[in-house]
Amino acid sequence: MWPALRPDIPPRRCVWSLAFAVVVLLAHPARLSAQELSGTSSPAKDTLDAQLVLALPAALATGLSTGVGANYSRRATQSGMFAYGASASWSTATEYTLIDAVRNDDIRLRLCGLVQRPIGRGILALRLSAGGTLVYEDRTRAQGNRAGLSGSALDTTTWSMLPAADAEGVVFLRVWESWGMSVSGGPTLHIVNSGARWGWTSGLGVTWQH
Amino acid sequence: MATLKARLGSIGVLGLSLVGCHKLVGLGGAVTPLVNIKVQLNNNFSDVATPDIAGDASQLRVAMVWGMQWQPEPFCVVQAESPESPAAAAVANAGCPDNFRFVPARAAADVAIQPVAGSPATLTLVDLPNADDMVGDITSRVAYASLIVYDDRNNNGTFDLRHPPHHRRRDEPPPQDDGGAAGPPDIVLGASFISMTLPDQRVAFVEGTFNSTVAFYPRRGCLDPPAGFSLLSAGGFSPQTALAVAFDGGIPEEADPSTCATASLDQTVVLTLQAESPELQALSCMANDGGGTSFYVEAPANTPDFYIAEQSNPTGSAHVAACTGFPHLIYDNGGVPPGQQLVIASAPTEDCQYLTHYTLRGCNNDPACATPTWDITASPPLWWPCQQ
Repeated sequence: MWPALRPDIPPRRCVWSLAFAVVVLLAHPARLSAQELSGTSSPAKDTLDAQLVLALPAALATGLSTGVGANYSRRATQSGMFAYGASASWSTATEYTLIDAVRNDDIRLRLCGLVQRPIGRGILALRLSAGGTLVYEDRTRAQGNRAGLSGSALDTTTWSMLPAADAEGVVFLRVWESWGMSVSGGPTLHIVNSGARWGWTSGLGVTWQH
Repeated sequence: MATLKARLGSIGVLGLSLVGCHKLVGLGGAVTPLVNIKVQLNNNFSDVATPDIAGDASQLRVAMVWGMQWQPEPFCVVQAESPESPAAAAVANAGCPDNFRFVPARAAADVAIQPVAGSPATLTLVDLPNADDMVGDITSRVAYASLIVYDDRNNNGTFDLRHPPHHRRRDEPPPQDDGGAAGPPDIVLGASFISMTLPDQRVAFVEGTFNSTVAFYPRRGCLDPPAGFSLLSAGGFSPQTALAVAFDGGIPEEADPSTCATASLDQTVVLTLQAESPELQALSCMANDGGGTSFYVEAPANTPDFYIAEQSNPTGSAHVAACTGFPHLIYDNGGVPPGQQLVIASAPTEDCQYLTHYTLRGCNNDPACATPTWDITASPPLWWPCQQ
């Protein structure tokens, strides 16, 4: 806690604490100023990022699926224009009707290829992914508990693997040494019950590049 | 390495096995019923059908209807217990429904049924009674339903509830009234629960612990219903005994507790078709006010449509009326106002029985209010037939 905010500390001690803090700040200016980074000449060899994921649920007709995900990519060419990698995410959405409460957990597993280009301190990339989304659907009958339902009359669950493909625009921005942030987003395609379903996905996260 | 490949292969096979094998339902899909209620007819439609409905056999349906909390208005209770005069008794007979009747609140499920004895049908309930349909707080509340067989005269597949005409409150806009369902009214031909004075079989839904002191379609002397859904039976109580107990502030007991029974909804409810009657038809009539109060209105300037009971009826009116005093019930410390009211009953041809109370002075909910909303005692309308 900042000493000045503590009413139990006498005023003289507050003054000494404040003076000490000022000395520390003046003695280490480099640590506390923003790091100056040069522009990126080529993408890093390895890129790993962890993201918060927001997406349209893979199979639910409406709602917002929220969760976390991770992406890894490895430079495929010396110039760094192409890269390949894999990604995985988990997100969940729950929607309600008068009859059911439906929760879908989407586990998106993808292999991806990237076309990327450095711009200043960032990298602009197009990530094309293909794979599957493992959907865990949990349907709970509304009012079922009150009515005394149990077993499958109250709650049913289903697993289903949906073929899927994504196209995402990605921006990696180096902030401090190997660390940076990433923003991504784009359309998705799932094959749900033999029909195509378009959606979208997006992410915001922390990137580590080596 | 071989082990890793084998594991990866297993995961791949598992993933592929999930593709398309399990269909996701999403927000649609079949509706899981909360409960199913099996019903069966005890006799043939042709046994009770009058010539005007004999052709409606294919329109026979069964509805599950939740009941509302309702207390009859004081005039009806007092006249039933000890009629003030033959004229007042005639008005009560014409305009008061059974004081112990089942009053509908909401039709919850509906199904067609074949019009022959032994024909089965299953009512599927997809939602629980609303909080409005239940009596008590969330730790102890109950709802009761009657299973009603009816001739769906307007063929809309729904048991249409009706209500008496709404009265306009003074200085307020006319009440909104949609007039009910279009077409001829449905005709009730039987029910599992008609009145507390008759043997009944009712669907109960209890949440929490049952509060036996709640006077909501009481069946004192029987076991408390279990939590959740159940099917309750009782033999009913005598109306005169029940009135006497009610005047003392009590809850009447079942005349024969051995008729009480509790069953699960696995049991089939057997419904007996009966001939058309006002008592049965009242099962389609809601109440405008379930609070056991009368709604008083100012005597209008123009003559209403009525005739005084046991007097001449020169206009051929269908509305019998009587001049009576104001009812005084036990625990009512508001006093009885002087003068009389004119009570006019509904016509026999109307869908629901009701009363209209005209006064020269008073408020909508209290004829003895200290600051009357209207007071025309000094210049009553020329047609006013009662004492001031």
